[in-house]
Amino acid sequence: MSTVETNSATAHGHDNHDPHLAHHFDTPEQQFQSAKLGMWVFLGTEILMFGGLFCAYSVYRHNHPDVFAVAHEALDRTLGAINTLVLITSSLTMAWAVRCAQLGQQRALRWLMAVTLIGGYGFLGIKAVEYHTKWEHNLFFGHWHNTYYGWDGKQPVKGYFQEELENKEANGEQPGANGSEAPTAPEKAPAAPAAPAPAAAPVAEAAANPASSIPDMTFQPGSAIDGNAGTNDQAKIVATFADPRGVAPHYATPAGEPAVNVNNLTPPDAERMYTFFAVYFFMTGLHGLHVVIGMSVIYWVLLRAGGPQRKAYLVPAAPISVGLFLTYLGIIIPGPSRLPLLVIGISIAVAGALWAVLWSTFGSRVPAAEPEFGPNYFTPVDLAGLYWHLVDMVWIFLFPLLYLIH
Amino acid sequence: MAAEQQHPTLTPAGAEGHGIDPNIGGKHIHSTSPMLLLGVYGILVFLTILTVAVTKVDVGDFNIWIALAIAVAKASFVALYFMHLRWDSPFNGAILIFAFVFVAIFIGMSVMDSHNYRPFMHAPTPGTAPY
Repeated sequence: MSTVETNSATAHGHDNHDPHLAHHFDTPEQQFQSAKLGMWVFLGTEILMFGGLFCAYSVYRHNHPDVFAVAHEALDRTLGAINTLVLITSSLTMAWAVRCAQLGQQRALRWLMAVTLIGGYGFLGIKAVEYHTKWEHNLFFGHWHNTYYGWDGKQPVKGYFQEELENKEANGEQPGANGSEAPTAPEKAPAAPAAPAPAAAPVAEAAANPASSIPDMTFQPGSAIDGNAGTNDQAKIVATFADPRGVAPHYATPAGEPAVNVNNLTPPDAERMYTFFAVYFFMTGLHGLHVVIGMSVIYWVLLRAGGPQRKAYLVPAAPISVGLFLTYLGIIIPGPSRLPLLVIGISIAVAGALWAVLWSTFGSRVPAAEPEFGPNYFTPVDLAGLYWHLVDMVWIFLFPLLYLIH
Repeated sequence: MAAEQQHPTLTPAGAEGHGIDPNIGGKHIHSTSPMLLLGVYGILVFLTILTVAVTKVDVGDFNIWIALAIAVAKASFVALYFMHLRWDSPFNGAILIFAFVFVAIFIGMSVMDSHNYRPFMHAPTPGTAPY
């Protein structure tokens, strides 16, 4: 008993060993390797999580290669390539920051982590431009009036999105940009679908054959992508592919054989383009979330590297940069969201700047502390770096798979 | 009791600059040299340009495999040098490789299943949707 007490008294003395060393580790090296192993196990689970989305991508692309070949043309290859370079560059600065932490180069460590964070903002900023372009052209997942076969009367299944539409109608709201394109009444749909002129034959066929509750969606020559001919969506899809911000479509292979293009997609494939954008948004969205988390972690490590004496400007740097980013979003995104984004963004940035000025002017002076990271202890920098490199690695796969489909 | 004596005392981080041996508890830790980091960065930039360039060349079904091979090469450079795996415990690298292997099995099995249904999808019964 007394031995144990002596042991614990010695162990909690803290005066003869590294303060970063937890008592359940024998040596700092063992602690470092354990932390690193734990991080790698976590990164393994991250890869498995992204694996689910890559699996969805693979199955869907395997089943609908034409949809992918056409729909990916709406993505901007140049912006995607620039974003790849931005992430690789920020990966370089982060790897260099780890080296600086190992060598105790405090100033370079802080600057390289700050540059890494700027790279993260740059990536998100370019991504915002891309997302906005898709949104502008209605290239979005689960678009409520284009989820099933379109809502031009051929819709036999009352889906969730149609219910939403009916609710909107019941509330007296305009169902879409063009109110005259309202769907048929839901009561009619299951029993006797209304038959508009162009789709009369297949729907009549389906009605005549009660065993088949799904209308004929096989390709009809001349119908081009007009599974929803005359609706806003057709115009928007076509407009997207004429958009200079999109990439120039290659409509023929070098051999001269006509490749599938937006004009000869079958109507169901034209509809399926929305599923491509679902895959695109979920994959890049989860990746973008990881960028945000990685930036937060790096910022936290930067705060620790800066020490208490630099908190007066490193802490307000967060609201200032977030506010500036929201202002940037307000500048690039027109429409009703612009004003709130600008107001909130500028307010946060100004408040942060004010905070920094007040803190550095009236805050109590903090004596310079011993740098936290150095040759003996750099685990947080190393592990934050590993996370950031994983984010880079996921994008290395996403870029060719989404943007560079041949 | 004796273990406590083995704990190294905290040495000051020292002046900025080179000549400091990164070590944890007296064990030397490898730090990557700037020239190596910049070299790997150059390779990654080159491979990024290459992967965009090869999409202009039509080699049919092989385009996807070329793109994936370049992506795997880039990921390997990131893992080996930026993520320091080349000098790490091989167990860390094994975790990464096995994660990729399991994802490949997952995707491979799912695509094989889809492949089985391919004839049904491409020869739809008249009057039914080709889903």
